[in-house]
Amino acid sequence: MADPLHQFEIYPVVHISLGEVNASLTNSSVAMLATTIIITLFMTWSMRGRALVPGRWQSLAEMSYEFIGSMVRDNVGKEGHPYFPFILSLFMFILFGNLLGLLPYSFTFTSHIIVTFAMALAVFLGVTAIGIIRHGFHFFSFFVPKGVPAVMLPLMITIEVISYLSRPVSLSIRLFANMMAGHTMMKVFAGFVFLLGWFGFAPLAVDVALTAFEFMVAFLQAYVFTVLTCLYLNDTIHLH
Amino acid sequence: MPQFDINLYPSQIIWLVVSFVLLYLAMSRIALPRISEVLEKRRDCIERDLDKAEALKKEADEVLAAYEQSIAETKAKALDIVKQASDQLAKESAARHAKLSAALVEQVKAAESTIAQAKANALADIRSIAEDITHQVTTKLIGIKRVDKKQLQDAVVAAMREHE
Repeated sequence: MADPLHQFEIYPVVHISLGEVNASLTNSSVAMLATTIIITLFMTWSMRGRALVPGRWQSLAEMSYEFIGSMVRDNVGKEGHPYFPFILSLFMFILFGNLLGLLPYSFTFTSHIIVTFAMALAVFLGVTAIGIIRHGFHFFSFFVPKGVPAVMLPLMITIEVISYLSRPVSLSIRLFANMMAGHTMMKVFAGFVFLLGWFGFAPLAVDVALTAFEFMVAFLQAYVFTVLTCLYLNDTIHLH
Repeated sequence: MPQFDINLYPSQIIWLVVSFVLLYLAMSRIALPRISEVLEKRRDCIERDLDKAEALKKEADEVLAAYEQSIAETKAKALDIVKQASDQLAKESAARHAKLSAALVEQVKAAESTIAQAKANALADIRSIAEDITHQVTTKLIGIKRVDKKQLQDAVVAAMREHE
């Protein structure tokens, strides 16, 4: 039986070294660059007609735009407008990364904790920086819940700080674990198809269902990551 | 698990940053302005078309009102013309009627006077004939040679008056 974790293996395509650091172009890097290129092509090529009455591709691009646009508007409000390009890039990057990872023999870069953690950390640091720039020292009142007796304050502040600091961890682990578990499960069942001989149709049927399920997870996890980013942004912009 | 191989981290982070920054630039500089421009253009276009439709509707209403007014005016004018024509005809026929009746009255009068004349002539003839007959009867029957002419005339007139 093939190793179900083999799909997460990273191997270099082009060796690149920046001093001591190994910055090789790997299969993961190729997947990321492909994601960027495909999203850019999708969002520009489908708008090339700039048609007043959109065709199918232009409708898709406009739908993506308005989907994220309304998400930012509903969750952050008008102040979220400057961050709209970032939120849209984040959503599209995760969504297309997940979807491209579903192609056979491709690579799912969102199934690597370091990638999801780097994105979550960037969101976390960015949101915190926006909070401090907007509200200055007042930003730290975020950790002081209102209407709590003074005796309880040290405990409450500790809890608030810990819950704030755990945001990037939960954000990154949710995406990483979902992608890795789903893809591993698919490979495990695929391995059973050959082991069970004639009865292999049963795990094959499961794999068909799992594939559909994974498409949903791919979208859902991109959505959850983005919506949580919006909520964090909203918390910092509007404190409480 | 390859996910926990720290040696693989730097390359993944570097390429993640490169890819994402490229994507962000492509989205914020090229793709999104283009889409928002198209969406805005569409919104403007729809708004403009709605405005235009409203203006056209208003114009159509005005034209309809003007049309109805002109129809009403024309109807009134037509009624006027019909009334004038019938008045004219009535006047003309009255005038002709009056002229005709005047001419008839004239003719009747002329005929009456002719009749009266004829009657008077006839009466005068009758008297002279009666005188003549009376003169001859009296001379022949009675034999009076000379008859007083005045006496004769009076007798004839009296006799005629008796028979009238």
